[in-house]
Amino acid sequence: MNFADTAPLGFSPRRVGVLAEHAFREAVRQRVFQFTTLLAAVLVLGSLGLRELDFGGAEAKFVADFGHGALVLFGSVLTIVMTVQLLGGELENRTVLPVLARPVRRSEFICGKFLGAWAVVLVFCAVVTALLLLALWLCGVATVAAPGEAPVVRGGAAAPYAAVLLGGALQAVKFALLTAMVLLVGSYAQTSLFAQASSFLVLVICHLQYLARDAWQSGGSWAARLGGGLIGFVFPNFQLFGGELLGGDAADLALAGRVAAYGALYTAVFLGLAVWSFRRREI
Amino acid sequence: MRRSLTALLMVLVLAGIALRPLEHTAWREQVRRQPGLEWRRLDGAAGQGLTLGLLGGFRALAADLLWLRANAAWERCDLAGTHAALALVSAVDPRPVAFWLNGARMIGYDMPYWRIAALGGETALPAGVVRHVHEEQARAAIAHLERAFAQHPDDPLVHIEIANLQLQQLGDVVGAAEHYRNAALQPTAPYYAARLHAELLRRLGREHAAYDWLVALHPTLPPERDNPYAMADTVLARIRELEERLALAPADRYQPGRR
Repeated sequence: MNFADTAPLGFSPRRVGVLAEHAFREAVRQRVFQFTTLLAAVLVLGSLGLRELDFGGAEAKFVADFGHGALVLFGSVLTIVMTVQLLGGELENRTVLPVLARPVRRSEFICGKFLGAWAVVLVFCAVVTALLLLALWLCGVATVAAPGEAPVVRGGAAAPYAAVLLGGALQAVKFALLTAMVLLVGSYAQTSLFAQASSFLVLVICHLQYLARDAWQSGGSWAARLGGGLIGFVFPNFQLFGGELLGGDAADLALAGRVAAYGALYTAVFLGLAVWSFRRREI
Repeated sequence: MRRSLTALLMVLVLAGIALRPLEHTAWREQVRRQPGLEWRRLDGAAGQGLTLGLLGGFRALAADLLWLRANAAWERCDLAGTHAALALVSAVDPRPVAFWLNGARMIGYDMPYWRIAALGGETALPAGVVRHVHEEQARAAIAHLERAFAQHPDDPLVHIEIANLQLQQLGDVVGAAEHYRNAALQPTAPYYAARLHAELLRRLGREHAAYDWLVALHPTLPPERDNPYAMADTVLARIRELEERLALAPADRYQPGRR
């Protein structure tokens, strides 16, 4: 049992803030942040040159899809690698010991790491979303929806910017959840490599969670139902966060709000479990 | 360790159950807007690169690359390859209508000639067999397009493509007229869908229905000088033709701006 857990030390948001600021500065200096942000930026702006590869819809839609793909892919890589480095690096190098020897609770340590890591991901999301908006503006087409191939009787163009902003915001919520999940894995894992591999596996499972739910609901063998049900209830559904489809009307905002609430509640659960697991860990 | 893992799983299952209503309503709404990737239909056909691309979120790019594959197979007149690639495209990204329309054109208009060539050529085959192949492919193309309605309910362009196939490949004037009508009723329909519906009604001998349809249509059209695609003057000319054929009394004739 750690000293900080036995001492009458209350949970201090101020200490969490200090730890988060430290984690943020450490993470921003990491090459993975610079590398993924640069790659995502190149891909988003490069999508303007790849528009000729698009055969299915409007150019703006292709640019929006491509940019959203860059946000999802590199955001996931950044979240996993950076969070594992922030926690696993401290554990492997034993630099966590002098921190926890001070009057700092383990829960504050985990919450600080979470906030610091998420702040970096927020910066990443903001940069990529801003670049995507710039790319769409440069694209000069004010529609995400595929246009009719002939002049239409009625109907106007959809605004793409609201969809891109909502998509970016929902991805930021998803990355908060992923950060909490990686912290939970990292609090168990003995090596950073294991934590990273497990986290990527968890990411894939979460993206395919809806298939497990389908298997559970659609019947079949009892083994398939049991397995599907277990995966469906243990892992959150990451496909929910595909906000690039949304516009800016009230129904879309309500849906985005429900998805954000789902992500926030799951984040709280995983963060709580990460704290619980880290408190039980022998360091 | 084992006990803590069990406790952790229990908490996660309880959280999953508690958050299920929130997830269910949001997921249902999300699927209504865009179906999830149909991984079952990919059925191992997607390579590792494609799978990674899809998981990474590059759905549009993956579909574009598969569309290139479909076109490469189409250029080789590879029936099975084109079919497989078209199925993959629609499974990966069913959102662009153009994939559905152009895929249906390949199935309905090009594939019959490949099949006929493989059977020995049009001159070597009885006319009935040639017609049967054309009709079979047209029905396959229509079935392909009907799957598009799951993603694009009542899309006018899909209705028009079905109508074209029914008219040109199956000679089904009644069915084509109905689909042109369905297309014309949609807010984003091209103007010609309504004119074609009227023309087919006329061809079916339902001239009264054609007249009523055109009379209802004409006031909704912009003047020809503002939008030549609407062809308001042509519609008015057809109304006048029908009035002559139906021998309507001058008082019963359509007066633009009066009704």
